Parts: sequence; C-alpha cells; structure tokens
Amino acid sequence: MRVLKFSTIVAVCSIFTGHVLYGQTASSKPGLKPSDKGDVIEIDTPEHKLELPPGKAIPGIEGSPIIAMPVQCSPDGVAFVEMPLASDFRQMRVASLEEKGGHLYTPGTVPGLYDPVLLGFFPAESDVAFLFYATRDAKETDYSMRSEKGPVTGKARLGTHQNYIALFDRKGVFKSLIDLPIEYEYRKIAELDSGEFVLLAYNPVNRVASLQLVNASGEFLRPLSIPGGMLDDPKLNQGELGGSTEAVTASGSLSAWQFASARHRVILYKPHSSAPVLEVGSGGAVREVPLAAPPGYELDGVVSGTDRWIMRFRRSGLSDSQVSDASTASGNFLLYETNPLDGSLKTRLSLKSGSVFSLACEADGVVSSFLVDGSAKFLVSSASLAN
Amino acid sequence: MKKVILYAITCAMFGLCGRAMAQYGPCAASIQSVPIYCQDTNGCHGSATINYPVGIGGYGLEAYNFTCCGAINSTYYWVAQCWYTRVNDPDMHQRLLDLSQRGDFLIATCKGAYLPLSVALEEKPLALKPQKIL
Repeated sequence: MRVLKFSTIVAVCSIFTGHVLYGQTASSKPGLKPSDKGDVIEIDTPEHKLELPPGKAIPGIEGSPIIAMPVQCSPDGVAFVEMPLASDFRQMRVASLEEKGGHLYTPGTVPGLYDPVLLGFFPAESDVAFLFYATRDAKETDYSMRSEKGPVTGKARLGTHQNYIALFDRKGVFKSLIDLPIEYEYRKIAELDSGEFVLLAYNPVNRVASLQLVNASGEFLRPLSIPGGMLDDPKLNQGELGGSTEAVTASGSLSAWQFASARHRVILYKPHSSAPVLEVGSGGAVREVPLAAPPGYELDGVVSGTDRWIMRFRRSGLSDSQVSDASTASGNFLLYETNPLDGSLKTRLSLKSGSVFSLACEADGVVSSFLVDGSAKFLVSSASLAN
Repeated sequence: MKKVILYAITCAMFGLCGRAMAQYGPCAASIQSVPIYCQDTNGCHGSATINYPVGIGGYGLEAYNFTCCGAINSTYYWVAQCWYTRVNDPDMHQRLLDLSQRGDFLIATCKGAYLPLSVALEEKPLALKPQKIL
C-alpha cells in the first residue's frame, strides 16, 4: 500500500469495489498506522453496500418533506422523526415510525404549558421525553409594532419562562411535566436505560457548559465531566471571557450539540468538529472517545443504534446557512460504522441512491431507513449490516 | 435566497439588553440551531441549519426563504420585552446599523412599544430613549 500525503489523499481518495482506501490524520488512535512522514496514516476500510428493499408504508402517520435532525431511536429500534412546520419552525411535531402504526406527538399541546419551544427529545423504552422552553403563565399581552413592511399586531406571553421536561407515553399521550431549575439554560436531553436524564445546559452565571445527571423527578444528581476537546471551542471561550453578547452566543452554540443512543448508552457529540465524543452509561459513567473521520470530512451526526456506532460525516467547509446537496451522488455526506472502542473507522456504508440522511436507526445489526413518497406516506425499509 | 441573519441580530440585541438588565427575567433569550434534512419525490435531497430565537414572546425575527426542495419558507418577527434604552458602544451601534440595512426588525421599548431599529438608530444614534410608538 502506498503512503500518500494527507492533502493528496484528500484529493484522490479512491473508492474500490469492496474496499475504500482513505488517508487519515494520525492522531493517537490505537490500531492506526502512522506514515513515514509522521502525519499520515492509511487504513483499508471495507465497504458494505446497503441494499434496501422497497419500503413499507407506515399507517396512521402523514409524512413531511422536512425532517429536523437528528432522527432519534427507541431502544427497540423505532425511529422518531421531528417534523417542523414550514410556517413556524418552532412548532414541532414528532412521529414514531412503528411498522404496525405510527404515532404523532404534538408536544406543543401540553396542558398548562404555553408558548413552548421544543429544544430536544429522546425516546426511551416506555416513554418519550421532550425538553421545552415555555411558561405556565397564560396571560397574553397585546403588542403592536411598526415595521418597514407595515404594522404588525398580535399577542405575546411575557410571563416567566423556563425549561420543562414533558413525558409522553409511546402512543403519543401526555403523561407528566417536570420543572427544571431556572438557573440553567437547558439545551438538550437524553434518557438512560436506567431512567435518569442526561441534560446539556449552559450556566449563564459562571458562563460554562454544564452536563448534568438528573433523576426521573428532575432532581439534580451530579455533574458529568465534559471532555476538554469538546469545551475547547471559540464560542464557549469567548462566552466565558467576553460580554453578554458572547455569553448568549456561547449558550446558543450548545443547541448544535446532540445526543444519540448507542449500545444502550448515550453519546454526546458536537457536529461539524473534530472533537471527541462522550459516551454516558448507567449511573452517569462517562467515557471519552476520540473520533476518526475520513480526510476532508467532519462528524455530522450519529445514527442511533443498539449494537453499532454508525456515524455520518459531512464534507468540510459546507455552509450551515445554505442548503447543501445531501444526495448520495454528491458525496457531501458519508456513512461509516465506527469502532466504539477507539473511534476508528471500521466500515463504510454506502447506498446506491437516495441520501444517507434516510438511514434512521440500527437495532441488533439491522439498519432501517425512511423516505416520504408522493402521497406523503413514510416508507420504512431495513437491511442487515455485515458482521 | 435571503441571508440568515437572525443569529447576529439577536445576539446583538441581547448584548445591548445585557447592559441594561439582569441576567434573568425578560432578557433571557438565545438561539436554537436545528439541522434539517429535506427531500422531494424528484430525487432532491438537501441539508441546512435553521436558527430561531428561544425567548419570551418567542416570535422570531428572521425571514427564512431559502429553497430546499421548495419546502421551507417562513417569516418571523421578534417580539421581546424591554430590550434596551441606550447604545453606548460605537462598534455595537455600527453593527446594529449594518444589520438594520439587511433585515426588518424592531426594538422593544420598556413601555411596551416597538420601533424599527433602523429608524431608532438613525434618529438617536447613541442614546435611545423609550417612547410610545403605537
């Protein structure tokens, strides 16, 4: 196998039938081979071509052409997709794509909760947890505004807002509401198999990110350590040292971090970065894993699963504020199975057509995918991964 | 495709707010970033990130109008309470003026009225005072 310079490999990475040859920055991944230049390694990554049969329609649920990522998956492998309304992105609906019949979650209709903004959700075995920013104060205040486009009038709720967890059962029925401490700006939620919540928040007083283990009643149990590689972030650093503008920017930047379920644990990851990921297990046990990426790509998302680590990578340099071609043919996004022990690339997963975004979940070595057909139905299909 | 400027605008507004108000209360607002994937039946697949404010009132400011399989088109107006009354920082002032050229957004006064930022800054560049507009 020839050893190539990193930049050369980025340009000429070749895809062979059955194998993919990639260069990779050396870092300190165990099992990876440094080049004689010291900055390049090569790995011979097998390729697995996923053959997805025609999908079966999910009864009871209307599909949407817009899906908010990431797709979350329950421990039994059911995909939960978040569907923003094009007329108002804050009004989210979540659908469970169960083969026997999907369920629609409308978390904005929680009784006694007003002005809700959905910040994240996480399906567990017996319930689905939704994280909100909202108010219990129903009072509406009239407002009127003058704008360059003409007058704007309406009503707004200006009462105290804070974060809440709303629990729904697996059929989409509201169960209970948990108040979260007002001192933190909560951003993301995950639920462990043991029933505790893992919450990502920003502490606006100390101006630091905070990862918390919280019990099923919403009571703080203990803080969890966030890897330095994740916290080493210009926005977070500026938030700590700068003014209030920078603090808000820092807090907002945490909304881009994501949770995924993986191997009956939870992964916290930071998309579009080379930061390590954090695995959180039972009782809040944490494990930092450096993550390899194909050269010229960076982590975009994690496909939730029960048995494997499947990562979606995005070509570096793509804009967040403009629409990127997400088709398989574009090569802008790649799927890899990653070794959960050391974060190295294990197998490239390729699709003949469509988009890698359609890959929703993995359960016991079987991946499921979804698409929306012309009659607005979710179609779900599945395929086995190689051992 | 309209430029996505909500983030900068809201941060700028909050920054000003933070000069006049406490950490909590009416100024608690920030940005939620949501990656989206869209598809259509013609084989179009797109990926982008949308940003919207999380705060009291919860009404956004930015007009999203980019084409993603022809599916995303939305407009918000930001409504908040008592953002600020003075702009003391010349750099911030210029930044807001620049932003006002690119967006249609409003400043909430402490008396519950709103005025276009561009109008406010042009009228009283460095010392905005609350005033009832409507």
